[in-house]
Amino acid sequence: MIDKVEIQKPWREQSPKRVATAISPALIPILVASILVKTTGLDGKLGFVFSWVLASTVTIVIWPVVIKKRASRGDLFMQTSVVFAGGIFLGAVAWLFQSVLAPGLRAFRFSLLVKDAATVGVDTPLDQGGLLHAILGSLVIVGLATLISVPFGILAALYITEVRGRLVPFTRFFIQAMSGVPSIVAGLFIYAALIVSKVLPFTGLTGSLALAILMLPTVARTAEEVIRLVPDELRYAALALGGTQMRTVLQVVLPSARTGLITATILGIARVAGETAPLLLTAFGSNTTNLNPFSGTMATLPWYIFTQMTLGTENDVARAWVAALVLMVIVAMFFVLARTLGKSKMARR
Amino acid sequence: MNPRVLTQADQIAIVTRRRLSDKVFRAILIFGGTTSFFVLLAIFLYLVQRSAPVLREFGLGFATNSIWYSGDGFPASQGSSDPANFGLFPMAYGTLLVALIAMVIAVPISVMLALGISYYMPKRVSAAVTFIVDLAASIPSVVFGLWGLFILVPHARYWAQLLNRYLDWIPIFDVTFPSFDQSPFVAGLVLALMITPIVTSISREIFSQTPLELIQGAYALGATRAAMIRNIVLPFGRGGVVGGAMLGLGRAMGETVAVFFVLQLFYDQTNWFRILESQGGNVASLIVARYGEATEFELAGLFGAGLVLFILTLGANLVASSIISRTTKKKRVSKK
Amino acid sequence: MRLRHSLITIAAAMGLIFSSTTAASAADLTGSGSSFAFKYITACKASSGHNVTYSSTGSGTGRNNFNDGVTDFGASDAASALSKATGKYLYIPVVGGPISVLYNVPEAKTQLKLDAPTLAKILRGSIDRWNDGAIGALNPGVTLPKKPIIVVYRSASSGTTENMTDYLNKVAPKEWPKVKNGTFTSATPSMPRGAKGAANSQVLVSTVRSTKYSIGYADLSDAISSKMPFASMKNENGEFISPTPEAAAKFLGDFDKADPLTGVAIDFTKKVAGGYNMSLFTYAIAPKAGGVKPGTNAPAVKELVDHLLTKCKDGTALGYSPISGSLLTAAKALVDQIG
Repeated sequence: MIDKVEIQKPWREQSPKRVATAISPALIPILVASILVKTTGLDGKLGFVFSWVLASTVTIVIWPVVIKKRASRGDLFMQTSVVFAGGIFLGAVAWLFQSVLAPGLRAFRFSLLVKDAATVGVDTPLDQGGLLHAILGSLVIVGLATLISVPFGILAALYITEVRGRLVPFTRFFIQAMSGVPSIVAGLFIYAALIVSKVLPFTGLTGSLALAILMLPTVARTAEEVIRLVPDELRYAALALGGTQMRTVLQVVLPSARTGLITATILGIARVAGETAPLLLTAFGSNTTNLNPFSGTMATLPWYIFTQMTLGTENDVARAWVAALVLMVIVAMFFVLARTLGKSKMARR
Repeated sequence: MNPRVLTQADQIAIVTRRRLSDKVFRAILIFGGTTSFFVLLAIFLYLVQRSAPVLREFGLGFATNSIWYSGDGFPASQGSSDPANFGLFPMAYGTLLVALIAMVIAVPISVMLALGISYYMPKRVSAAVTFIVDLAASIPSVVFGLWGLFILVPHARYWAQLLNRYLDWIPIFDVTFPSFDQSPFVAGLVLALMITPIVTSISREIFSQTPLELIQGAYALGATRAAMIRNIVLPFGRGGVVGGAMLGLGRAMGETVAVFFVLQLFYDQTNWFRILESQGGNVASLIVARYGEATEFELAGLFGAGLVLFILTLGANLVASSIISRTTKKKRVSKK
Repeated sequence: MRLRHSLITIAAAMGLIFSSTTAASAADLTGSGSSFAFKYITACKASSGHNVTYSSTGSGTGRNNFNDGVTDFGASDAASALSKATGKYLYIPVVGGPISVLYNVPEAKTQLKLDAPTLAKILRGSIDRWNDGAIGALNPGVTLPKKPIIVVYRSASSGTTENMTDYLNKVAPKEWPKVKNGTFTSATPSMPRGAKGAANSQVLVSTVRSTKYSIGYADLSDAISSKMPFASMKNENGEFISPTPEAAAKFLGDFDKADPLTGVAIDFTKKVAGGYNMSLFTYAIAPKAGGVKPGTNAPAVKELVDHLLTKCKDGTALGYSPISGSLLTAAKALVDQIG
């Protein structure tokens, strides 16, 4: 898909003048605001930000009108808005990343990645013990949750897009409603239904089940949206060639929606990778490495972050930031992997 | 589709009706499609069962009263001298208010960002931005909460002062006490940043699926990019964007830890519209705040709170989807 | 074909997971409860000889978990009856500590002195400026600024708030007529204007540190590393005592009866020379007669509780008071009943 997109914009080069028209709406407000603060009663940072916001708003609306060509007004308006939206979001996220990653990098030691916390107490120096147990626990629990929820999510999406029966509005509604289940309620549900009733003790599996509840709606909803976009002509063609519906779905519909389904899975994982509350209630946490999700309590990175933050001493908070850093790096690596896999398969076809 | 012709479902059903493999396949899909229903039903019944003592005690007042007092852990009907009394209204209303603020900030930014990724940014930049967006979606909520509390709040206080200083003639920016911390506005900001990646990701996925023929057709007719987006991409992707926004709304209403860190809960007063006032409500935060020390009866109350939140989310979804279906219908008619 | 291949891979991976896991060692102990005791148990667990996982869930949840039979032991700041575990549990005081009042007033060069009625009035908002006469009377020679007092309180329910409001209600019933409650907003007779809620102790301490003219309360163990000044409190003997582990130990160790079901009846108005009265305990909840959790390792729990009560010496530096005096004898007798 992405390779073909270039066809969309072959007919005009980005001339310096066009770049200037696109960027100046971002610069003008700053200029205006500075002048206003210097010359009028508005004072200090408060005044500057206020006049900047005001000037930006006015510019977004006025700038396209000032530019003479009528046809490109809408275009410029969109362009300016995109620049602003991108700027705001990326600025905020960069700020967030910087404040999460910097303390993590400062405290990072390689030994933290290969030891668990069996001997770690309060405010233990950073060269002792580590968070291996939490890393492995997170991988196992989120992995298991993915194995449970992705098939169900895709089945639910396929039910909506392929069967199109009378229950479809209800199914969509229920999936939607499920996305509103607060994470702590999902945790409480598994806790009461499985753990208190002695079906299972605190294990990694109970943690995975709680996460799967949270993951399912995200996967199902996103998968539905992308599968819906597969043109019906493809389905009719496959059916007309005598394919069964199963073959149509497995060999035509799902492969065409592959990148979208990967996005669905990624969003699902992203949704639960940082969940703390349900894991506290179901996987309980642990100081030692446990790889078996069917027996024994298990540590996870969000749980580790939460616990260390609660301890609140200097070294413990530093450990928490390292854990946040590790969590984000792992998720990033996983995303890269998933996207490359998705792409290389597309290329082979 | 002309309604007098067979519906799509009928067409597919006719082709696939007689085969055994198709029947099996459909059964599997129906099973998958109904899983969510059964899980949901289980959670719902479980919440009702666990909150029954409180619902029986207070009835509808549980949702409409404004008090949350645990007392000595027993209700008045059991002869308590210091009776527990639970009414959830300020929390329920506050949840909606905070989620609304988050949506108002997040949805326009997300849609613009998604359009930018799909149609404005150079290929390499858009790949990088996509990656950042996905990564941002996975930041743990506890990190969001701490970031919001320690790093965003001092700045948000400043922005709130700013809004209050110049715009306090608009009622929503008025305050009764100039504290500015822990307001619905701050909570909304944190939530907005939390849900923007989700909404952006889904919108981008949808926009990138717009049929290329249509885009090229629009360009060939001489449309500008903005005209093409307005007439082709947005109508095509509207449903998906709404779906993404609804997922974001669900997340915003159910978020527990992050909001709890940055919002001051007042159990007995409703903050109707003063979004900069250091006073708000949030059902999920109530559960977090009270769960640790809850007695058995209060625990029932907290499950009741979970139930109300659940119903609230359902209601918000219903309203939103009915609004959407009405507006899309109107659009179609006017185009004829 | 490819599907079968990946199935085999998954099966192999599962096999690997199972084979690499050794059988759980007999001394894996899980416990939950009091956030006050969290640091103490975390600091002591490595030297206990068992693999202890303790979750800081709050006392109420700690009790509920033990009552539901899902944890081996619990920790709670209050001893209230467990409905399902009738006769199968023991409340054993294992560690205590003072509740410190910390403040941020740059102009105050010497340690601030407070008593229970004044603290009560500050926390309910009826004293709302630092230069109020009541504060001045306790601190002769100190000039305090005419600034509004910003009260910082724990917004989640906590044993600390519950014990502090109990103390205020017992020692200053006129100024603080409401009975104890774990949530500040429910316990206070009226909310002070401009008060700020803090999600947990760490947040409370850092909020006080970053907010000028604020006042807050926290367990000493959570505030000790903050380098914030603590107010000294007037005890029933009329002495102004700083919140130190020793002063709290002196007050707490003066009680001599520990009931296995209802704990220690703390009388906050007791006169103890050199004692800091605004103090609290944490009880370990330990199984008796087999407990409610199937397969509880009672001997290991017994060793752990004994370790927490008598052997672990890491608490004082963290701001905890060891159980001492006549109470220690009573607690030791309870440890012997675990089983």
